[in-house]
Amino acid sequence: MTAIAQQDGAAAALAAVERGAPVAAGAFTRPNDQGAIRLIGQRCRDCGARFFPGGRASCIRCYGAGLEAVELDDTGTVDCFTVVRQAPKGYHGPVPYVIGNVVLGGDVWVLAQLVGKDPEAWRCGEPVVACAFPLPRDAEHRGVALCYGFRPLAPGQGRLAAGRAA
Amino acid sequence: MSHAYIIGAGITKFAHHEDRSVESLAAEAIVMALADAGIGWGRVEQLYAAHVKQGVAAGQRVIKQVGPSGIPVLNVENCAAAGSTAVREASLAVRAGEFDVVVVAGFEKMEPGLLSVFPAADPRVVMGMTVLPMRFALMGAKHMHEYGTTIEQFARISVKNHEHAVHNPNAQYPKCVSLQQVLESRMICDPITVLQCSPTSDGAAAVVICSESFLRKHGAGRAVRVVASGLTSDSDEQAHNVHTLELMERASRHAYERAGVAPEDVDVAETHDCFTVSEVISYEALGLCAKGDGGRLVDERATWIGGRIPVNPSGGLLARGHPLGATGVAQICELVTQLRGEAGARQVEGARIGLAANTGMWSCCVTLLAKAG
Repeated sequence: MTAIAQQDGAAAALAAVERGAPVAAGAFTRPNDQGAIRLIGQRCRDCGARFFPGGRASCIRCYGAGLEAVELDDTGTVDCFTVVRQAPKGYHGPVPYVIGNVVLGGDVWVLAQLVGKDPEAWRCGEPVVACAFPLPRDAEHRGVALCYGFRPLAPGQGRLAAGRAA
Repeated sequence: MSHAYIIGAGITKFAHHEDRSVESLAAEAIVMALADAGIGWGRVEQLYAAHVKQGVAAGQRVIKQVGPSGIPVLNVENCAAAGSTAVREASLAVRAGEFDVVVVAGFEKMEPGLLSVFPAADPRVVMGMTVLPMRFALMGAKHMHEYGTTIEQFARISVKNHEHAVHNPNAQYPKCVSLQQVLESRMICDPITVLQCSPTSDGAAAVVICSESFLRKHGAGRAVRVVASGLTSDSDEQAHNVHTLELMERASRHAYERAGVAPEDVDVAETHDCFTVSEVISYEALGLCAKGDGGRLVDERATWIGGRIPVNPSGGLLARGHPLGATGVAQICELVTQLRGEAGARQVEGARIGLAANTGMWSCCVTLLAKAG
């Protein structure tokens, strides 16, 4: 892909994502101009466990209540994935689509869509970067939800500066 | 604590019963179970009603049909593990000396199409993450990646269970399917094709459970002992390893320890084959083979009737059908029939110890049963 095509793609993606409200409040930072985000999870002040999604009353490991919101690593690895070829009720996006289990920083497991690539081309162990992408909220595409997911990590792509909550 | 015994079992045909109410299906199973036990409804002290999407207080609607005796009704919802959870709770109450005779009925009438169990406002709905085979598809993908398990090994579970169901008059799909048919059927979630998914079903199953002292008066006859059970619940993909049915591993370990029974002592098992992948991985979780050897067990035909450890002689969820609330009780009914030696053409010869593993989102109940006497 040429640099210009890349820029056009990013601009189009940004235009789309700016139309929608986040699918879950406080789940990720505001997308940068490349559509990249950081997921916001929780961290336990006592034992250091990090997890996603946040919004929980106590730690998943030590059950302590001292939790704080934390921006998670923007890059991770696909542990495994499946191509979904029949959409469940309430999903109005493109089919087939890919759901993957992604590991961030070796300790946080996130289940989300893998986007930005032919569904057949994904492999276990691939590096990915967190991103925002739009999905329709209803069959008539009247509303758009800004969703979190992961896309292939381009070679040489650096880490993001921390953003602010979307 | 004293023991609890199953003295009666009843099950309806699993099918699409368009012309029947769920209450009449449940009542049919209860009446059959009572007749099998040789006792009347008047002896029953509590009804445990297991169901998932049958509305508020469905057990109270059912009891109207079998006799408004005023006994307590306990409605049990634990997703697809509701049936076995209810059997466990009933057995514990009987063992604790609270009741002499109780009935557990599991029942369900389902809507066609992919099952939907998430609230509409859950953000995962819009993101397409509520498709039910997804978790098992991910488990299967991981198993293939780590252990070299093949799509064919998963698909053969459907071939086996349909073959078993041919001899079960209550099965929804008592007909053979070929490996090619399973593989070539519509792909739902890689590697799970539609013939590797349990169907939507209507049906009911019931058991009569009694105390040791009641059994002495009543006569042991064809009684089956509830030896032990284990129930676990998970909800977090990070806190628990969701790629290995860890919750089933923990539930079975608990049941084995309580019973003083080892996996190699089990003669026949009914496991939760909601999808083919879950049966293969359950072999490992239940200790029927080593981690990663599930596919090999399939190749060795060890889990066919006549094999080392027959699994799902009833046809399982895939071919007997899967009316959510009824499934766990149906598994127990099949084991009771097997342990009594009354399973006819699908009989597992010499079966003395049976194991049922029933999962729902995300709970697992493992029950061990043994021939009484």
